[in-house]
Amino acid sequence: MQVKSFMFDMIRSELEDVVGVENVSTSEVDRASYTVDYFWLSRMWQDRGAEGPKPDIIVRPGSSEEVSKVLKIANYYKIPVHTWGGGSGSQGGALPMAGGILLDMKRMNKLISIDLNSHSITAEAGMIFQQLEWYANEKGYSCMHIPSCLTCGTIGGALGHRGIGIFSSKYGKIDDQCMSMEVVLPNGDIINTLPVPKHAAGPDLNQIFIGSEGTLGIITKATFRLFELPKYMKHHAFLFKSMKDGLAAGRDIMQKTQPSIMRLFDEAETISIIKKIIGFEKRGAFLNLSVDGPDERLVDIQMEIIKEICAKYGAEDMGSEYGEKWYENRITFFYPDHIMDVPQMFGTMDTVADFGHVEEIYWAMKNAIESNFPGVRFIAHCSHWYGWGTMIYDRFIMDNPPEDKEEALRLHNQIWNTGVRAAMEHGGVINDHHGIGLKLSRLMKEQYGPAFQVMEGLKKSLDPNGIMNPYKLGL
Amino acid sequence: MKILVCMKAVPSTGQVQVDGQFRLQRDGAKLQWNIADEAALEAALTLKSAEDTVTVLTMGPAKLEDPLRELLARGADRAILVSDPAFAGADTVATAGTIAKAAEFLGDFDLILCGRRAIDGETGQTPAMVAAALGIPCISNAESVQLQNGAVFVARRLESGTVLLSVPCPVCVSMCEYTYTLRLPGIMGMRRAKSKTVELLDSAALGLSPQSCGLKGSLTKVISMDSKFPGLRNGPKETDLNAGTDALLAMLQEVVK
Amino acid sequence: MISQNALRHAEKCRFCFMCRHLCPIQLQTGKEVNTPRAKGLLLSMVNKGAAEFDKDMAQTMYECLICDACVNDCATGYQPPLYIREARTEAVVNDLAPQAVMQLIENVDATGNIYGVQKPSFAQEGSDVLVYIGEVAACKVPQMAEGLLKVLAKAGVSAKVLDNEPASGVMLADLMGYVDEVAQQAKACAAAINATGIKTVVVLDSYDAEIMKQRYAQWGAEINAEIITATAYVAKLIEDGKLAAKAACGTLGACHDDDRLARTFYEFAPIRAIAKAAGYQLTEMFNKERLAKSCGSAVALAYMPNIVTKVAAGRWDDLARTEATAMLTASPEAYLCLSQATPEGKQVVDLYSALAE
Repeated sequence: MQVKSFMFDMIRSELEDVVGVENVSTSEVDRASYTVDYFWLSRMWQDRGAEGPKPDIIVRPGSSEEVSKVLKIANYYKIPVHTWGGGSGSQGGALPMAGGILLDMKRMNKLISIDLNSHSITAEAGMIFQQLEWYANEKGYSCMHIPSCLTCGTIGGALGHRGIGIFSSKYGKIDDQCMSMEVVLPNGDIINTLPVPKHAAGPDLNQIFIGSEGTLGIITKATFRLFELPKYMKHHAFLFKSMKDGLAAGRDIMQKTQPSIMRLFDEAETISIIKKIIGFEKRGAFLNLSVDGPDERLVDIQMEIIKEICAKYGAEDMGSEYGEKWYENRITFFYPDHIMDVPQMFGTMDTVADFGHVEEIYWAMKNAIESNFPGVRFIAHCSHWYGWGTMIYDRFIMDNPPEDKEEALRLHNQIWNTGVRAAMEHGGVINDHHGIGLKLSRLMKEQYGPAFQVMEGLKKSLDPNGIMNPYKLGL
Repeated sequence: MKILVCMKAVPSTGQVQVDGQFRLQRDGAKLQWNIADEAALEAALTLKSAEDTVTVLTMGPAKLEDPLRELLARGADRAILVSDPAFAGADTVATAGTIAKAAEFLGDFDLILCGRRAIDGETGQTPAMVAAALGIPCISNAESVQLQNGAVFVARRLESGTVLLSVPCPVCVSMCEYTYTLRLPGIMGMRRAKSKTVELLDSAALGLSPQSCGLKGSLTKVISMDSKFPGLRNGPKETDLNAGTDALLAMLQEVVK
Repeated sequence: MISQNALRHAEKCRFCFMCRHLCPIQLQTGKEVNTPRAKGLLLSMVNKGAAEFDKDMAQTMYECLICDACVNDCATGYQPPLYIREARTEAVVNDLAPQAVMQLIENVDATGNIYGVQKPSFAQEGSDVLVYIGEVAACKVPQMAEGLLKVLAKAGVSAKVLDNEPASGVMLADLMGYVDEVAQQAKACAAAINATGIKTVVVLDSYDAEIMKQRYAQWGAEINAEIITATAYVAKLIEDGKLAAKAACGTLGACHDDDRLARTFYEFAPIRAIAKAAGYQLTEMFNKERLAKSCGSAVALAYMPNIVTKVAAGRWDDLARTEATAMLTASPEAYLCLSQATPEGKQVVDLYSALAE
């Protein structure tokens, strides 16, 4: 015990030398604040009065060079390093499961440059994404990455788990919007990906580190595309008789037009959440969408085509009112009392698939969960669309989970295993935009099969000591 | 002068539930001090001079110890918790009997202050019953209480106006809820309260037999209870297709009746 | 520990990440504990017996400006300052508050104000309005108090200022929460104001105006007069033609909406009207009005000067992204904080003095 403490303080003073005494902490208060993220299990654990996973030492770096030095120290002593941005991830990706060092990145929140010639913006990765968006807005631009966690997560967090915003159907995911990054490798080397994202100079390094969830390195700076703030945005809503019709119409809309937002809700969600938030009373599959553009003619003509497509699939035209209402309330859904909370058990499975499989996956997941777990409800909507398919934002809710926390944890994981396996068996991919984290780590090998050796190879080569965010992403 | 203030912890409004015997469920509910009782305490603290003592007393579950300590922080000198499983289910007679026993046990009080009624039961009977059990006069609906030459000077609210009364001690006065606002606890008071103990009195200490207190010692029995707004507290579940409209329809029909 | 009501708010905030981007202290320190979520989480843990309320936790509860940015953002209406204030009470009661905080409380005990000095008097006789100067202006920004009195004189307003002006209690409330000691200060202050019989009280410091308007009555410390912020009062004088606008000074400025004007009174137009009348050409910072980033409060500056100076620098960063060279304020608290970090080539302008000149 004596020796451990002696060595602990030796390492602590080494870290203090790098980032300054005021930016290293071992206080109980600081440690406790990192035990809970947005992951249901960590919340339930706290709610039941149990102790969550605590880091041993918190380090708040102020520059890439400091991150580099910290990683060199961590590698020398083989201490786990968990990177924490906003801490708002739903997958447990930032939880310090292995103790050791927690790098809180939020001091690295400086704007580096705005290039109005190239339409790009560069900032440190510890910046909360809303700040980046405000900097862009000040100049009349937008990153058009507007997730519900815009105000919660950091740039690094959005990149780390391959996030998505509500305008994705037109403007893409974070991995489409990011042009270039600076990454600190586990050995402390500071590298840059190529300055532009499209080239013929080998595989895209951006796409290796985006979504790596802190297991392969630490993203310290990033450059994003800027878009002119849309001058015109029009909203509309339709009601389909079934998800099947809605999915077919959605596919055609994505093929022929370019909506920025499109959301299709199943009947269970239409009559519960949509009704609750925007007061929509009818039954069926509710679809709201938004089209934006720099010229009203461009918006109007697309909306006309969309109306024709929806009519073809028998949709009732609900006009613009409910589309606007959804848009106004898009963030309200996520504030306390508007969103599910403990003691309820809940999870968002977030499966992505091509149009050929998506409906089959929806039914397979719904049946697997509702038939295996009595008392568990299943609701779903499709919120992000691609030219080739869409994702299912499918949620399960259990109002009265087991009182015993270990039992609740096991049941939670069984439900996840059942739902995600049903999706994968029918051609779906484990996750669209929430990430893998701790929650789905165990299922990654099942998802990839032999292809997973590519990831394992990257991990072994870049992080031979396995210090980077252990137990996450299956690595 | 010795002042006793009787306090009742009532469920925070909006969270009231009753059990199968129509007794209020206090165990799970969040409790707050009855507002009129808070006014009674403030009246006592306003009257109190350096040589006077203010004792607060409540009857209820053991979890009221911390709320009582807060009253010590606000300026009460002594806090008494009258608590025993045997006291459960007491009606106003049994409650008043138990409180009167406790008051006798604690010694001669010159003035007993209570709220005029509690926001849960709304009977307004207990103050007068306590006074009757102790054989002292009771003045109800007091808006203010002052001391004049050893007598208590009370402004009593009637429907038609205010009556000013001067009464010799000992006396029981029940206070309106709107004339005194209970003071905030102060830092010094909170520090003082930390070192004080809440004194516990059970049926054995008061010499009460099981037949004379609690449900068994009660003269009234609630035989039925009805809510005019069925289903309001157990709202429709998110995916229950018809619950919302059905509940609203039932509610409207109930109101129309 | 904290009240049931405060705990309810803490329990709702503990898993919510929505407002962290607005916390001016979080933005400067980058600490997770400096988010409303973490503070709620910690108090929830204490309540569940999973954490101890120790000196470090107490320190954390003081690393907050109570600027209400989080409250303003919450779509549901939860209020982190509610539990943060109560946690401060807990800290003081149990001798866990930081030494610097305890020193300020001792200063209040000794002299009535946090600065531990005899509060300078601006006493003058008058009959139209009573001007409440407040501790910050009196002790730290006297030129602003003088500026306001000159402006009023210029407009022909007969203004009285109390000799031995009592504290409003707002600073003590930030240090130890809403406790009886604060209510006693409020009662003394209300009594002094009521004794003048004047029916309009013009309050220079919006922090004082907040506690007088929002808290006094519920503590039995009613003021029998209309409470009006100095900004609103002076803007009305301008509107009524009692104060002539000055010639353009050629300087481009941006108005800083202080925390209380921005998020208690939602008062935005008056300060801009004053700035225009003082001859300034106006532009706006991006984060303005209800979203105006706090530049710190005087009481927080007194117990954590390093952090508040950084917070003030954060507000100057907002100005740096505009063309403006002047930060315009009519708040003594904002003036004091902003002055700690004035960048080269920029100036913080006291609008009353500017208007009075």
